[in-house]
Amino acid sequence: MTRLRIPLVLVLAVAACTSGGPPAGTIPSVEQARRHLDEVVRMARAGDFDGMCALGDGNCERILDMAGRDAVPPDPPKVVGTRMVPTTSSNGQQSFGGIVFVLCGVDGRGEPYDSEMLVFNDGNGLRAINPVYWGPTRIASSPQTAATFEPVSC
Amino acid sequence: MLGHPCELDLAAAPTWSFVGNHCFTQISDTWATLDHCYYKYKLKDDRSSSYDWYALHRFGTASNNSPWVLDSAKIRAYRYSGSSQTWADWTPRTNWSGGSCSTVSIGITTPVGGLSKSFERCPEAVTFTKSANGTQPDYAQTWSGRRTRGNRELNFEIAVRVKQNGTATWTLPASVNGGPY
Repeated sequence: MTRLRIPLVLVLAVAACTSGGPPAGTIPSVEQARRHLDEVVRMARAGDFDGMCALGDGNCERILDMAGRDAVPPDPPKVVGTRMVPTTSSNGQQSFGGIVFVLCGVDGRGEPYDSEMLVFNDGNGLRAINPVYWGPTRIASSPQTAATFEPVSC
Repeated sequence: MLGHPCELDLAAAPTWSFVGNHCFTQISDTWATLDHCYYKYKLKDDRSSSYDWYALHRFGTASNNSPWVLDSAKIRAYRYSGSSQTWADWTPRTNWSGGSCSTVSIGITTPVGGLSKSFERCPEAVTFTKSANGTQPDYAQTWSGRRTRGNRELNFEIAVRVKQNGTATWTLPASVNGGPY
């Protein structure tokens, strides 16, 4: 009986601590994801990188260092494609899918860029993998490194 | 090493050229999460007609899923099917534990440097496993620290040699584990 109680307590505790929003891994609509993208872009263009990274993933600061805080594009990115990545589960690990935006434009240094951003639900709201849209980061679709990185036609 | 010295024009300056990068979807075991990515590079102007070199920068950030705790996280890279690979270099080369969080630098040096990265090393324990020289490259880094609330960084670089015009493709697993308290 004791062994049964512990998992039950944990399940109830997890349920109590959720935000009341969609569970983690729930695929947002393209419109919801687009609003999140627009907010990321607004913060980047305002120079609010802390705010931008708060909407993003744990590697935001590192990728921001590589892409450059001085290279924020003056114009919003052009969305040239979208695709859905499913949420999957394997070996006790969930992998949160969402909506991928394929983005391109010209950065603040006058250089063309193309990248991808994944908007997903982490259980506390929407987050973005790669909010640093003016860098070169793509969203992996397999656990293998890609053989090629073809440029996006913008 | 860069193979036979006669294959090199020592006046030239080989440099790592960015190939591309990807980030993966966030993974979670409910209690904790891990965001992980890689950057891939190829050695440019290596002046070798026999070999090419590739480097992989692999990194991630693990977090507790508040109010729960983070216990461990692991990122790995091992050769995928395709060209046979030979170890050139790997970093970090040591395990560590204890102390306090501090920023350290990692960077491969063989066949050349130039990819040095900062890495926030935290006190609990960061260990690595590596396949033996002479076998196909396989490197894994594990951060371990029971009941951690906060973010912890994982970060490593490896370099491999392949035959001329060969490819270097890796499989990049990752995992994270946490708990209720």
